[in-house]
Amino acid sequence: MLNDLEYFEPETISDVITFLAKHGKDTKLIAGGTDLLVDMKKGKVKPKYLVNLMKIPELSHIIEDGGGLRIGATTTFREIEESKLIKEKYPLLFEAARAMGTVQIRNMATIGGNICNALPSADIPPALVALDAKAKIVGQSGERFLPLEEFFVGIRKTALESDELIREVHVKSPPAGSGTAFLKIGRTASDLATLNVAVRVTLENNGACKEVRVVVGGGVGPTLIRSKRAETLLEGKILEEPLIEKTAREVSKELKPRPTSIRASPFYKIEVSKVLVKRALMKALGRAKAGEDR
Amino acid sequence: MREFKVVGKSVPKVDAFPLALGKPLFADDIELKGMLHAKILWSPHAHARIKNIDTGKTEALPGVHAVLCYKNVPRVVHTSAGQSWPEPSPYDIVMFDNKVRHVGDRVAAIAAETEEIAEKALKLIKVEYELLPAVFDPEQAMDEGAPVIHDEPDCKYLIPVFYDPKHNHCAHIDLEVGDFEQGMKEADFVIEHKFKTHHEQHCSIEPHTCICYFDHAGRLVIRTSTQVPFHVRRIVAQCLQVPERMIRVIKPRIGGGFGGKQEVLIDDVCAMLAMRTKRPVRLVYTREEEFTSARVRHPMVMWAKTGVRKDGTLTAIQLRVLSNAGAYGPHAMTVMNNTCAKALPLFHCENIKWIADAVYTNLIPGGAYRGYGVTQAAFPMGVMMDEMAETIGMDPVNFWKMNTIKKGETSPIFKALSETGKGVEMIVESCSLPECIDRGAEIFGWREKRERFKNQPEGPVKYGVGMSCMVQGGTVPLIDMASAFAKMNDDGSFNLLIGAADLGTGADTVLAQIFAETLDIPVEDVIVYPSDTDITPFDKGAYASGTTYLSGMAVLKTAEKIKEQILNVAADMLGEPKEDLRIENKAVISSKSGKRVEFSQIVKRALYIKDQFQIAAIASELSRLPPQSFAAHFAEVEVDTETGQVKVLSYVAAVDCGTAVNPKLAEGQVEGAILNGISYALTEEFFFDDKGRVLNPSFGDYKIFSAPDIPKITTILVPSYEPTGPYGAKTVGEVNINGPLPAISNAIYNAVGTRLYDTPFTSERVLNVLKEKGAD
Ligand SMILES: Cc1cc2nc3c(=O)[nH]c(=O)nc-3n(C[C@H](O)[C@H](O)[C@H](O)COP(=O)(O)OP(=O)(O)OC[C@H]3O[C@@H](n4cnc5c(N)ncnc54)[C@H](O)[C@@H]3O)c2cc1C
Repeated sequence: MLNDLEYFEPETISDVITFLAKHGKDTKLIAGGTDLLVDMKKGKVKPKYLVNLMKIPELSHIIEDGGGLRIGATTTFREIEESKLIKEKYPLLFEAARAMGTVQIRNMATIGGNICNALPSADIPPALVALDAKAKIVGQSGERFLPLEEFFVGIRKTALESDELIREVHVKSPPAGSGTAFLKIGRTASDLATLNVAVRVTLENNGACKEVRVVVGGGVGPTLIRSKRAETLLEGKILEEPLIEKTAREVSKELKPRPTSIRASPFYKIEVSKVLVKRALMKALGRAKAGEDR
Repeated sequence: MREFKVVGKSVPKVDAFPLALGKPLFADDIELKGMLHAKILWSPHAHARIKNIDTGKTEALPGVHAVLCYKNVPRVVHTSAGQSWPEPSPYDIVMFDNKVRHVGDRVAAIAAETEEIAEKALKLIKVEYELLPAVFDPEQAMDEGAPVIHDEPDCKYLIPVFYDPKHNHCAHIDLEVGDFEQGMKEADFVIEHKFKTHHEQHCSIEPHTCICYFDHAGRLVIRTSTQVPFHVRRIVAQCLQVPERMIRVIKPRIGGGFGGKQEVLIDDVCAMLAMRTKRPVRLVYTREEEFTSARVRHPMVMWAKTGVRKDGTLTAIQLRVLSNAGAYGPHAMTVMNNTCAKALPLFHCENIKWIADAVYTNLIPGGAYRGYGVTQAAFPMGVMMDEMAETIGMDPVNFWKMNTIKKGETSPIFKALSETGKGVEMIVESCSLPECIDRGAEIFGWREKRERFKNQPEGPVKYGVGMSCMVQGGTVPLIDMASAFAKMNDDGSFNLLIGAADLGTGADTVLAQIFAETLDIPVEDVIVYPSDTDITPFDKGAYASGTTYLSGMAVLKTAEKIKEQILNVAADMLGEPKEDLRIENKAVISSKSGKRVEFSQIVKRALYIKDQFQIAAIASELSRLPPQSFAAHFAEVEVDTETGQVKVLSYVAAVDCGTAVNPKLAEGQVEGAILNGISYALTEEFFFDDKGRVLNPSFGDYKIFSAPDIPKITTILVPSYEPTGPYGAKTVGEVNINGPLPAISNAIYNAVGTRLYDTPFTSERVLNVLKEKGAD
């Protein structure tokens, strides 16, 4: 139940930090509330203090800055989806944002909440990891940057200390010769991912693969999985379908889906991961060749 | 076809405006002074005896006003099924028992000052259980040595039917018309398969809601989200052991029922808590409780065997049905019976054999659900028809047309069985199914698409089309009764008091249209007051698709009686014989003299001037036969053979509901049923663990279609004229939910050459079936 708590609406980040320094352990930050309120209603989380981040102007923005992008933590999925800048220059983020939930949810849900809730099936994290994104974390002892994949440490567990919050996400602009793709399977349009895959392929001038990221989410482990095998297998090679197919099979071996998932059996997730990884790689490769992602 | 003034027009719903304004119209929209909040303690075990309940700590908690359990409520065996008396469902449930039969079964209930206190209080109840072995698989429920779920001595049926609870055997009927074995001998091909359908929850957006309070005279008022206000009054009176006169049931606006509210699910507990506390009490299910402690569509295992000749003659049908009733038997027999009574009259076949059993298991109980058994049977039959057509090399369109019942024909099933037992003989006097098939096929592009999909594109994604036809008989003949009362006001307007229960379906509007048509007045002049057991006359309630047809006839008869009274007064006023008078535009006109008196003048004369009396009438209608509504459905699907994903691309339904009294509302019923059916076919699914617990009791985990999932649905209303219905109307609420399972299964087959005999067609099941096929 939602009764026994105190609610705060600070207007600056430093107010939040001061508050967290004092009450961090008993506090929950709330952004869109689309995860938190569900948990609170179920009694899974019972904070003493609720601190709303949505009234802090410095937390909501999409800014292009020095060859990269800075997205404020309380920027909503709808804002990401509707940003011309993101659609043109970071189409992977656009695709991932649009695959998330329904319009009603996207109007409320924030990128910071999606990351901090740390569900292995969340949609934006794989795309961010594929773009080597970093979280800008602020707290009592100042600020620090953490590559996003290191931010997730388990199912719903993050590297955040109790006095910290995410302030921004920094995304590097994909290098020239890049192509990306995001694919998701769910039971209905508003379902969490049974499986999602974010891929970035960056090609050399000579057509060989310079850098690749294959990131799989959707409850295939305690966190999303950035496939090292894919990187080893593909980087430096000319990408062709047989190699991509082989890579997809190898990636599937890195996945450890839980047998208790309602959405699908481990067998199904493994089988379909081979399909989605292959399709995403082929699509990204095609886009890289066509120069679609610049 | 007759031309009408109001009937056949899509007038806006009479309650649209206040609903759109968010007026407090639903059961839970009122807040009463001193209202207590009720919560129920649910069984964590699938099968257990309660050795003791200690409620001491709970009762001591400040703010708790009453605690109910088996120790302090009367033990009244009854059924929760909201059916006419004597109910054709077993009396196998009591308000609280010293035994629990499924996870989510009732253990105790609390009324407290707030929901929070009630929640806290629940945790303080100490229950000592003696665990019993449980059975979940219907195919094992009747085995020797299976745990006996209803071992209590007092369970029984009120009507003389088979019942053997000692073997978990909740219902059994079999029948044969013609000679099945002979029919098999005459067949060139025999096809046989086992089918399975799964659990489904109604997912009404408004959960079960009940508020009970006492009026100034000390009578109990039950404001409840129900499809069956009069059955609620009777059954709650029974459970509380008070006379019906002490109870008034009010049905406000309802946020969907779909059969789930044809059940006295929470009203008895809420009423008992009000009786004990002498305070208003509110009891509202959570969404989780809807999934664990309400009712579901009966899952069934079915064995179908059919014979067909090369020329397309259907020589024999055998359907064996095993219905999983779950822990209690509300609607178990009647739903089971409908797999024959209301499903098989569709087919031209002289030799039909049907054997059906319903068994108790330790799972959530089945209940009424839109389609009511016909949905289950329509799946195997629709797939068998497709397979037979393929076997003899006939296009399904032609095979369906050849083998389905036509106007002027009868089926031996009508007489042999109804949902409650013996049937009634009838001739189908209205049927536009052949036209539905033709027009549906044409608008869908059936022939062209069947041709096109003979050559599938390269790549993993394949395309296919499938069709199925369906029927649903409306009402329960010779049992269902509806009535209406109306009176005339000073300005020539009318109060129309109906027992019928509008669930959001638009029934109030449709009935107002029928009334307005009969008296040639605008709909605005009909003030509808529905579903209040103190004020409105009896109606069996909203089920068996019967409201437009049956309540509609009662309204029409009421209006005709009033018309007579109006003409009598007018004849006296005009000094002309009644035979020369007719009603037109809120007035009476003499065809001879051309003279005219307005309704407002007529009623004023009756009320104030001469031989004063109230122009008013009441009329009842008993259903004498189940009018047959038909539909032909066509589905186009895309199957991703690598992921197993099935997507419905387009869906066409051609529907014969007789006259559509309000075409917009009828289309709404068609689209709603199809969406409900597609969602059931593709994504809705219950998961239970090995202890019988529901693992996915939320919309997050039990996926129903929402707006972005809806494919393109085209509805074509193909009118016919039913002589026994109001202005030719039949029924439209249920029939269309019977199409998606077979039509989609057939379309998947057309796309990938693999048939699905088990539901739902989830990506995982489809992929598994494709892989198995690839492996052979
Ligand atoms: C119907 C429905 C459908 C959904 N579908 C999807 C889907 O398809 N894909 C998907 O990925 N998710 C989905 N979700 C989950 C959810 O909407 C997302 O995870 C969303 O992004 C959470 O953001 P929020 O702003 O609502 O977070 P909140 O609920 O406000 O917060 C979530 C958690 O993050 C913490 N937090 C929030 N912001 C910060 C911050 N700046 N710093 C530190 N901690 C912070 C909160 O304390 C809380 O613990 C769905 C949810 C619902 C209800």
